[in-house]
Amino acid sequence: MQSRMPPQAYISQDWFQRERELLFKPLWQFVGLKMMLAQHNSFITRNIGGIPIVIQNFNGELRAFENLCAHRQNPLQTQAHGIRSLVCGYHGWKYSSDGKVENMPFEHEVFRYEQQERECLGLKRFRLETIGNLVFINLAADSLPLNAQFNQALIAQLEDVSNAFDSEVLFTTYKTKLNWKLAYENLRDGHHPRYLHSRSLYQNVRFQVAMDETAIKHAKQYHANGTKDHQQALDLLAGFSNGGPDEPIKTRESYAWHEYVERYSDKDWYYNWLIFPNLHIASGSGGYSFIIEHHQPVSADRTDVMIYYVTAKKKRPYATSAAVLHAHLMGADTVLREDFEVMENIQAGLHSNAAHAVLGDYEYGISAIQDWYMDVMEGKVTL
Amino acid sequence: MAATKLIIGSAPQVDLAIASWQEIEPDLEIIGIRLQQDNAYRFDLSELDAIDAKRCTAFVAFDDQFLNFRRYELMAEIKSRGFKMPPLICQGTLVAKTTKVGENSFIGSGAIIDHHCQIGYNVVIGAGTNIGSNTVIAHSAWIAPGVVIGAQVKVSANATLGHGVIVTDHIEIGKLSVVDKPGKFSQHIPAKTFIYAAFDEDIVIVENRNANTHSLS
Ligand code: FES
Ligand SMILES: [Fe+2]
Repeated sequence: MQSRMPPQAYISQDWFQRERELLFKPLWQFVGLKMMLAQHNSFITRNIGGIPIVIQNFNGELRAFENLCAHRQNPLQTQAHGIRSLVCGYHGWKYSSDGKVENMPFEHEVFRYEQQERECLGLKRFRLETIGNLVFINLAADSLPLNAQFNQALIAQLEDVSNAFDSEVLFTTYKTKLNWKLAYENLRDGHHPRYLHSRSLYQNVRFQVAMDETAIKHAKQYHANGTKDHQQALDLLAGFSNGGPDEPIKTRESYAWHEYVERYSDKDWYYNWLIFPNLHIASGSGGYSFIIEHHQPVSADRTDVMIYYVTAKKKRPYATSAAVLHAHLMGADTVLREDFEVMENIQAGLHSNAAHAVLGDYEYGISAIQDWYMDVMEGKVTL
Repeated sequence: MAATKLIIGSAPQVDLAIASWQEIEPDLEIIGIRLQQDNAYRFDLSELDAIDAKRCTAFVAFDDQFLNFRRYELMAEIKSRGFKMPPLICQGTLVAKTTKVGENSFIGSGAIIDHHCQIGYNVVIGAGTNIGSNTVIAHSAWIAPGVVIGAQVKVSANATLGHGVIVTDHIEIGKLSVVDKPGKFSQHIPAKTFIYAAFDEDIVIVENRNANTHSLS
């Protein structure tokens, strides 16, 4: 089955800009973990869709603002995360939880704004919602609600699993040279671990491709017809995010630290949640620890892959918890780099006359997303 | 007086420690115990059960695995069995008289450690390392060969400094941090920060305790 995706979808910067407007802007996007925002004045900063964003805790309430001062657009928070009130370092304006200027030093001496102008000063605010410990924002003022993007069963699962996350979080970013869509396609490809990860991941988890004949039939029908129906497009969208227990783990080791955490489940299974468009949560340890992988598009050929590692909640602090998280990342690093390398090679080879992909039946999940994506990008449906 | 030295750990480190002790004490009787680890990284220490702690001293020679906790755990285990664990200060080091070195620490050949330093227990300082005066290296730190550390530096517990690292005067390297990227470091490194040449950004660990937030939509 020939993919509808032209090479431009992966390499063209004009396409990337259009994609930001048509796809990302109306969608809810993951921005970070609530555990990193637990204290008053704790914050994280991100660049989402080209817009610098700050998520800040105001006495327990999380708010998302554009991270640019209303005075002369200096970024308010300059670190990736930290604990600091929302104050601009340039001329000292301080902002309150509604984004208004709460304190303007020397207001009457040097600024002397007209009352009307003064009242309008404030930060651009974005909608923010959480599912358990997962924080999402939406850049559009009025687009679909969060529970239209994800189905109820998934929301319940994500709430459940993320509430099991411990407060100690390991975090890093891989700056990759690939289009973000290659990452979600790769994650939905259960056939590659046998080859690409034959010496790493596949040693421990024998991923099997699921030949779901009904889903294959649906994907083919959809491929032939596409959709122009808004509701059908939303139903399909909700279906792209799913997960849960995936494959049994061949041999699960028992480590000393397992006793110090509240395990999320009692099954020795590999857990895997794929959350469209760009989030992946997995547990390779049967619920003792989790990776949260977020593919943040930067440009057509650049994606920041943000990796978080947590264990399940600690019963009490223990000395080696940082070493446990460190060891997790070092273990995953090999597999991550195997994936990045192949995706970067694909990205580097693509050119405007390159052929379209030809998908096999097992790639029905990728095919359905690609067809839906093209309907959105071609304006057949608007989100 | 103990006549025998037990050297316990992983093969390459044990071999190095045996050769180094032989150089400084040619008459010492040395027993090397090269441990295996199982899949969960546990050691089998049954070989030690037959050995009388009063007749021997011991030295643990192990790498920086698990942010140096593995060497720490091994040392604690051997110490709890009653063994004395004097440090191994290799031939050709220049350690100033006013500098103190803790139990089970290793100072490699050619290392130069200036006056008034404190080297904690279970520290590994590689060959040819240069450490300025009044510097503190806390327990279970790992310093690769050839690292240059200025004066009045603090390297905190379990920290690791890799090849090619230069730490300038007055700098503090936080607990459990790893600096394994060649270059000069003139800023404090917070605890639990991992800096590697192969990573695009520092790996950090954040813990933000008071988790009673709720969101507004
Ligand atoms: S730019 Fe922020 S106070 Fe002036
Ligand atoms: Fe992979």
